[in-house]
Amino acid sequence: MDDSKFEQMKAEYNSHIFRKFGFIILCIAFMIVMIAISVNIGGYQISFMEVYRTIFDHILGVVPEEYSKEWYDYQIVWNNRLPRILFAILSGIGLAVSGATMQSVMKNPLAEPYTTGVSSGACFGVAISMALGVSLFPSLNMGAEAFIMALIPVAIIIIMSPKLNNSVATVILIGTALTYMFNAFSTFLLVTTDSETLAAIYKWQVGSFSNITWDRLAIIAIFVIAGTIIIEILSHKLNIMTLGDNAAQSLGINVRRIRILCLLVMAIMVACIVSYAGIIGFVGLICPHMIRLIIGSDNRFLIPAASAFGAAFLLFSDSCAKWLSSLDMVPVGAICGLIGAPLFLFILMHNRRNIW
Amino acid sequence: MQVDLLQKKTPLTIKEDENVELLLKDLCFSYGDIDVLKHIEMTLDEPKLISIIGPNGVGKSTLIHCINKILSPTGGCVLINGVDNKEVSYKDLAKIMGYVPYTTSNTFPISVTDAVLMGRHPHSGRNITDQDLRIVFETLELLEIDDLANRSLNELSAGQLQKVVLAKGIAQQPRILLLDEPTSNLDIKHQMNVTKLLKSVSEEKQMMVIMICHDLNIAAKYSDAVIIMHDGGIFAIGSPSEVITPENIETVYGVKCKVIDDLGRPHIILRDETETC
Amino acid sequence: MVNINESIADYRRRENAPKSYIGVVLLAIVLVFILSLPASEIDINLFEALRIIYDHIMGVEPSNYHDMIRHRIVVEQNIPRAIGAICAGGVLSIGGAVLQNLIRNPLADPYTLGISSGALFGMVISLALGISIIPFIDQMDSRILNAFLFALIPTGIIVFLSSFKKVSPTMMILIGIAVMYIFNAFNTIIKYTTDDETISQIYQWTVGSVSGLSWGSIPKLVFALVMIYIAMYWIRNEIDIVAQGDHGAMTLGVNPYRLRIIALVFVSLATAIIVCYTGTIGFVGLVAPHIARRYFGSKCRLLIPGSAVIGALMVLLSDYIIRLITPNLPVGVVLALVCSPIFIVILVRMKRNEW
Repeated sequence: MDDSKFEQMKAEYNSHIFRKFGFIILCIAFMIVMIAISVNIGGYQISFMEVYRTIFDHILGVVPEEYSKEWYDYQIVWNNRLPRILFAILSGIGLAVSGATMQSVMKNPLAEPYTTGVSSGACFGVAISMALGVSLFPSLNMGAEAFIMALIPVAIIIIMSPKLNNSVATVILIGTALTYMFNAFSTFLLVTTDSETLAAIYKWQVGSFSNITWDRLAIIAIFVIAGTIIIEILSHKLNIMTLGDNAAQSLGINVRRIRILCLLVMAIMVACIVSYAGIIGFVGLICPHMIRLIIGSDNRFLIPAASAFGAAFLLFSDSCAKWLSSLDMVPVGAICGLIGAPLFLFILMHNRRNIW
Repeated sequence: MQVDLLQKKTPLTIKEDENVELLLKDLCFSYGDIDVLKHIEMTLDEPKLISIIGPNGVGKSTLIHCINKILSPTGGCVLINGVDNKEVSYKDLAKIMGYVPYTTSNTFPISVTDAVLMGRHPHSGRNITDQDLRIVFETLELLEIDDLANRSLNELSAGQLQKVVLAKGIAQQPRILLLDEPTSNLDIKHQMNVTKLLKSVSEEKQMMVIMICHDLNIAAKYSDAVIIMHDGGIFAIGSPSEVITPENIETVYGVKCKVIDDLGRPHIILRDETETC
Repeated sequence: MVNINESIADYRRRENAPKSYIGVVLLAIVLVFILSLPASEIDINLFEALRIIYDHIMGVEPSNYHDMIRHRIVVEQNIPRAIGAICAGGVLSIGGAVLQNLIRNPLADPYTLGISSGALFGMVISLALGISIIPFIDQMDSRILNAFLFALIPTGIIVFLSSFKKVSPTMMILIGIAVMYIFNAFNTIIKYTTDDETISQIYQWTVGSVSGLSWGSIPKLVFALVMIYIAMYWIRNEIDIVAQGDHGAMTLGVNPYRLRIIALVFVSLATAIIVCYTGTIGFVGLVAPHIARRYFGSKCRLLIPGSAVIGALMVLLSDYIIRLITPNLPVGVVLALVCSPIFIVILVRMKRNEW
């Protein structure tokens, strides 16, 4: 190949890569801007400059006097707003990455993080806890019950997997059956309780990022970031698996093991998000498709792009929700749907590529 | 691009003894900015076995898809006995034109007999008669897969699956049969047999069989006519001996070769750059 | 294969063999129907129930309080409930089977098109905000009409967008899902701002139940079942052809895009009718077709009736169980509780790699 042709091809390849990187950087930039804006949104009025002064002061180690104005500012900004913002970012990463991975692993564009039953398991855990009034770890505010129960459907699937003939469609259907089953358990409990408990459980289910503290955030951060890194490492193999199980196996990839590993990692990531955030749909299913429409299906770029986009999108939605109503009357999941769905339809209609 | 859900269509019927003429007039097709087919003019009006050869990506499948309305040409038209295929409904077109694709979907597999039976749909619609079943089973016998009649599609090897799709096309009994690499997954014996079968079908049933072929020697051995595509257009069209020459092969494929005559047909022996012809 | 005539006869035999299984399931439906007639909180035995029905047909009025209650339970409640269950199960299963074949995705079911959230939206704005599209009708009817009209909006959007651009099967479902999210968003916001009682009411409706059905709704439900059965059965061959691939379908004379839209419209209409009266009974539309496929194969000629009877039996049986235990449980709960394990067992024991 002569040099000029090589240069030209390299330039084209680089421009494609550039486009993908560009998208990721754009999302991250947007997210940073949103952090800066979102810190200022909230019910309690704090002026722009004071918010940043509080942050700088804390970083510099200045401790405000108890019950002074600075101290109140500090409580709001550091223990209320900032954790919520970070939680929204982490959830966006976790849900979007899990969604993209689930769609790759299950080879089905309709798969999402909750396909394996994680959300209904968590809901059932919360329902038991609230309806029966018992709690294993009261200090964790139902987080433990939700987390443990969320993992049970996935555990069932993993235990049953040797008998399943390596068929992904069967796994999806079993996951869906388990989802319905656990939903049925929850419903059974809910229709037998009073309408107050019902409303409380419903409010948990709808999803919100306000139920968070720094220590819970730390655990969630560890799981989400570790999970994302693991999946990114596996992404190259996931690419090969899309060629077909037989082809991948002949290239030395243990398809079953990778699938189970991915399911496990995704389950843990999503379970810990759902335990405190409730069930936020849309991000896991539609965001990966939006990203695919923009940058294609290469898993190596899809995962970072999903993280960046998911984080930016969810933070933006949560900021809007906060701005519209400081009392959490506007659930973040609803805003996601209202903003995201029309955006998705728009991208879909204007797209030349036919991915599926 | 308006999707024609409700457009009125021109009926197209060709009687059994009538000749079929396929005319491509200034046919163009582009994927976005990339021009794949450029101003193609071609007339085919005799029932024979025609091979289309050419390097990967030159537009062979695109050409076939423009002929059978899977794709809409961005310029020019395809005329069948004088009627533009844009004006004909899929249903009428299917009565005279069949297609054997390279791959089929396999989400919910069915039995071999049922798959081939679908080929009778354009003619029989809802009522599957014994005559239809007879045609199906005879076709299965012809392709030597009658023992697979009740097997499910997902249990077959790639070669067997290819024969099933072929059977579906033949059972359709069209006047024009378009095939996209019908023998790529078959072993050498079956490659030869299937190509020979296509030739005899074209003679006995007065069918125009147009197939995309990657094996130049098989194409040369059995085809009545060969079309070479190059650079978005028809580079050469004629009998195998006329068209398959070392000069043409080098221009189109960029490969040196030696062509010898074997039983009246050209046979290509490839040479790489270091060897002499 | 020596004899083609033999093969033809063999093929015909294989085609018709599963019909007997369908007959068996139908018989089971009839059996459960009859058994379920007396089931209720009050102790009525089967003969009494049959006598009450006989009296009703003969025009004999119940004479005392004791008979009147039993008459009301058997004739006014149980029979409509059973018929409603059969219709709901049938419609949802047929819809699921057809969509799964046309979208070529085992996860498709009538609700993934957004019908249920549209209906819920219509119901919610009627319950919570008291708005109805066509005023001046009595409240119950306006609620249902609302639900019906809104249920068709997602389908309308899909059809509308399809006229601009060739919509692939997956794209079709994703559009439906996107619209579903928009409606869900509205629903959530409205629900969030209403009182607990209304939330409870809405929740009951969401989960799906046949218990509130009266004779007034039965003609519409039966109509839905008959309509979707005839329509889908009419195009059974075309559905099979499209299920094998779009390109193959076009060259066999079937326009896959048009077929999907037509099927979509019929499935939506029938499902919308059902959903308005029963709420969203999940699970059946997804699972019954898969069970039917296991026993009847993927060809629509058997899959459509097969799914219909299996779905009908599932819902009818679940409702019967509910009536035996406690009449106020939503049918979706028992459906999922009882049928999920059965479904999982069937999936696991499926030896052949079906898909």
